[in-house]
Amino acid sequence: MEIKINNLKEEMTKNQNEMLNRIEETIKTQEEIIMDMIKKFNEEFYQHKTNVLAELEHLKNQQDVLKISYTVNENKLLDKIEKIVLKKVHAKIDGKQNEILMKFWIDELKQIIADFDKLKQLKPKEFRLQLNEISEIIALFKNKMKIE
Amino acid sequence: MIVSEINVKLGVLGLWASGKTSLVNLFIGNEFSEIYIPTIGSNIVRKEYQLANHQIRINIWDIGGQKSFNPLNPAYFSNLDIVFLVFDLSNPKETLLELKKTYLKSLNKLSPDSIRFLIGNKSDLIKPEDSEILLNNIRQYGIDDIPIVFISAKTQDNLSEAFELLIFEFLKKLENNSKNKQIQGISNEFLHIIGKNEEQLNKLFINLEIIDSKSLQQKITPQIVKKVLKSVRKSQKVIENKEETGILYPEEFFIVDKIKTDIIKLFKNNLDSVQDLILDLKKTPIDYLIERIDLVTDELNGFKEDFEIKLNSLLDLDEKGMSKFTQDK
Repeated sequence: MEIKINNLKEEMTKNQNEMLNRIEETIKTQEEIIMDMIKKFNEEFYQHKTNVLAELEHLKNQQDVLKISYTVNENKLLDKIEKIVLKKVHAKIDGKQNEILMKFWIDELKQIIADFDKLKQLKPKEFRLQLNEISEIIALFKNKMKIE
Repeated sequence: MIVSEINVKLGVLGLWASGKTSLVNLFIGNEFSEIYIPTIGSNIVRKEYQLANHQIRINIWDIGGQKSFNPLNPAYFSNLDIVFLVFDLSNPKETLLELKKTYLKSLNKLSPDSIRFLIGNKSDLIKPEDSEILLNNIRQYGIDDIPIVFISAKTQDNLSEAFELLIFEFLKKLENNSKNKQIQGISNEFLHIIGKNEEQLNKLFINLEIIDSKSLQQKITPQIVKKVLKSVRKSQKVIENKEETGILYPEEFFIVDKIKTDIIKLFKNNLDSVQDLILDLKKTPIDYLIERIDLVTDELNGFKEDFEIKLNSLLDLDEKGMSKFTQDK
């Protein structure tokens, strides 16, 4: 009986060891597989990242080109609009420049008259400066008005 | 060295086409134009006389007579020192009545102390056979107590003398009213500058009580025939209307352009006058500054209204053309 128990014990130990070895090997194999998978994933990820970065760079370049193109076209459009508006304005005021200047002068004179009383409060130097300014405004209008 | 400046405001008033602009233009040395262009608003020009210690500045306000262009602006009548009331010797009744009706009231209100002369223009058109009728018309429709002088802007007879006489009368009045010793003798100094004496100038006056048609002819026929400045007459077709009024009316297409050009020219002239006003203010002694600022403000308001009249007339001419011009006729 004792011998049987000892044999049984030996077999159990043997089986146990075998099982442990097998489990160990399985774990090791699984570990290797997982490592491989991780490795493969990393490689793919890196490749993908590289591709995306390249694509991103390309898109950035395109964006820059578009921005420049937009700015150039915007300026062209504004220029064109300005020219059209100026042309329309010139057509409207053609031959009426003097009348417009006369109107501006009258408005200016109204302002001068409205402020004229304030001259009484000015110191001599400021008084002279103010009068000089008025004189210059008059000279400007005189020069602008053309007699054909 | 200039001791003082004497500024004199001279108003030239009268019905349209009585010759105001012509006599002003000739007085300041411009040409005589046979073509009638109405004055829009006012035209302000200047003539200066340099005496030993004084500068006399005559600021001449030539006021347009056509009512369609010129609503009566009080600025035209304010603070006038001397006045020419111009009437047309070829149409004395209408032009004298207009002076009384339109101008005298405003003058009496706004420049009651002004020295006035009644100027009969176009003496070159007086025919001997019409002299008696003319004198009767003037006696009947003339203005009492205002000295009368006959001139011709076209031939320049008595033209500069009439201005000089009026300026001389003003300077005499200034001497009498002023306590400033430096002003004394200024009227004689003025006579010396112009090379005339008081007696010569006084001969210009027409005494309606004693004059008859014969002495009138002697008076208006000049002893010295003045050189007539080249008269401006365009080569384009004009409609002669000399028998009635002595005025030439050019074709419509020309006159509107000419009036517009004139308006702009006068606008610029008046800008000059505003500038002179401002520069004069700079030179005003401090004791008189406040008063002067008030006076200049009034004058600027007058100018502003005149500028507005000119601009509105220009815009009206663009819109209505010739019909604006013929409105008063």
